[in-house]
Order: sequence, then structure tokens, then C-alpha cells
Amino acid sequence: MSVLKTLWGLLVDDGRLASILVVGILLAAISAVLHHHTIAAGILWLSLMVSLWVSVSHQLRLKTKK
Amino acid sequence: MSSHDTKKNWGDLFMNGFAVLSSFLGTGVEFIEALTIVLAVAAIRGWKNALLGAFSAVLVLAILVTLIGAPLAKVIDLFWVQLMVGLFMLLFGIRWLRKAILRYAGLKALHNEAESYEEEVQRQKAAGEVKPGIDRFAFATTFSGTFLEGLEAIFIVITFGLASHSISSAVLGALIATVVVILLGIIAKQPLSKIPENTMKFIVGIMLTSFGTYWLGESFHVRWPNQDLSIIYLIVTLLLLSYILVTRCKRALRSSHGEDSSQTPGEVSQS
Repeated sequence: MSVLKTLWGLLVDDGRLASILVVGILLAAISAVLHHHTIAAGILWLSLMVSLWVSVSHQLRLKTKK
Repeated sequence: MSSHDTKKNWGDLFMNGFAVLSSFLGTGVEFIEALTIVLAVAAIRGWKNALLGAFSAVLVLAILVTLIGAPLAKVIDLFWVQLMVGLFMLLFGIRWLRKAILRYAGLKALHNEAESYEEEVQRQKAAGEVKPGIDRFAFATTFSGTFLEGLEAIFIVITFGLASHSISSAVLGALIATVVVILLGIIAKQPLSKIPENTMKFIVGIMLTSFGTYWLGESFHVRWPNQDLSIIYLIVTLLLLSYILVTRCKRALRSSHGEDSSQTPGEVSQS
């Protein structure tokens, strides 16, 4: 269990960032399956930007609230 | 030689250079962290115990890579390799990138090897006397520390190696990092606190995230504008976003500190 926890920790340390990213990846995969290949690339790129923005903004809100 | 061959050679050279550099920077960060643990344990509980734990971890990792890693890479279908490596690179890289942005922005304390060393030294002192023979506490500390940092280093080598189609270049980068860190450790005889770890993590984070996204997209057959050149677009936009985020956070923190200091006299007078 602790090994799995450690391995999970290597990949995810902010659930908010990871969940937005995973939703983006799933949407991109669905778009690609539906033959919207360029839109799928756009979704992947956008999910990177949004997940980073939301995650860092959340940390900023927490810090300024303190 | 045709222009296609020349283009391909330049492409291969770029990818090999990318693998060596990224692997060097990524594994270098991990080795510096492992070295700090080994140095702290050695200072309190002796070199024999510290090195025994570290070398045992290296041996176990080498066996794992030989038994599982290498055959796995040969057996798995290209789709699954691209999907798994891409996903791993992306998640691992964006985690480093986020952490580096938070540190640059002042939202998270900069990682300081000197502080980590001091903490580990205190922990080792608190563990009591050094036992004769093999000291289990010292062995367990350097074994687990080296194993975890080594595991991350192996993931970095495999992902950069597969992404650049040149495992040997990624291994070369890791070997150079090993030699450099060990030499610096021997020369300095103290934790390598002057190495710009956050900058290294930032660069590797950007590279892993960009290449991971590209590979993940390739596994879904997405249409990247200008194909491989999209990696450059991804790198540029990530750099731009990081800059905007860091500037925005710094400004927000400054104004929030300004508000705090302007409120302080009022709070004092009320009390």
C-alpha cells in the first residue's frame, strides 16, 4: 500500500491539477475518436494551460487568505 | 546525401541532444537529493552504513530494470508505449513545473539542500547510538532515500529515452549526472546547496510536459500543427504561461503584504 502511495505521489500532488488534466485528456481522446483530430490537439494544449492556471491560482488564494 | 536524409540526421541529433541534456538535468536533481541523505547519514553513523544502504538500493534498482523494464519496452505495442510514456511524462513533468512556478512565485519555500541535510543529521542523532555491525537505522535511511530518488531517475531516463528513440543517449545523460554529482560531492564534502535545483526542475518540467503532451496526442492520432514543431509551440506557450503566473502571483503577494502592513497600526490601536 505504501509503495502504491509513493508511486502515486511521484505523479500527483495536486488533485485539482490532475483531475482537470485527466478530463482534458479524455475529451481529447473522444474528439480524436470522432475524427476531430485538430480540435483534440487544441483540447490537450488548453487542458495544460487551464490546469496549471487553476492550480497555481488556488495556491495563491490560499496564501493571500492566510 | 538527399535533403530528406540531412533533415533526418539533424532531427536525430536534436533528439539525442535533448535526451542527454534532459536526462542529465532530471537525474542530476534526484542524485543531489540522494547525496544529501547519504552525506548526512555518513556524518553521524559512518560511511560504511551509509554506503551499504545506498549501494544496496542501486543494486535492487538495477535488477528491477533488467528484469522488468527492458523486456517490457520490447514487448509492448507502440500505441501503449506512447500512451503510457506520454501520460507518465505529462503527469510527472507538470508536477515539477507547478512546483517550480510556486517556488519562483514565492508561494512555496525554495528547496534547500543545506536545510534538508541539517534535518537529516538531527534525525540520525535522535536515533541513538550507532550499533556495531550493520546499523539498521542508517541502512534503512540511505536505502529508502536512494531507492526513491533512483526510481524517479529511472523513470526520467526511460521516458526521455523512449521519447527521443534513443535510450542510450538518456542513459549517457544519467551517467554524466552520476559522475558529476559524485565528484562535486567528493570535492565539496557537503550538500550541494549552491546548485540551482529549482531552475533545473523548471527546465525539466517544461520539457517533460511538452514532450509528454505531444506523445499522448500521437497515441490518439491528434493532428498537431506543423507536426514535431508543435513541441516548440508547447514549450514556448508553457514558458509564457509560467512567466505570467509567476508575475501575477508576485504582484498579488506584494499587494496583499502591503494591505497587511497598512492594517497593522489599526489592529495595534484596537488592542
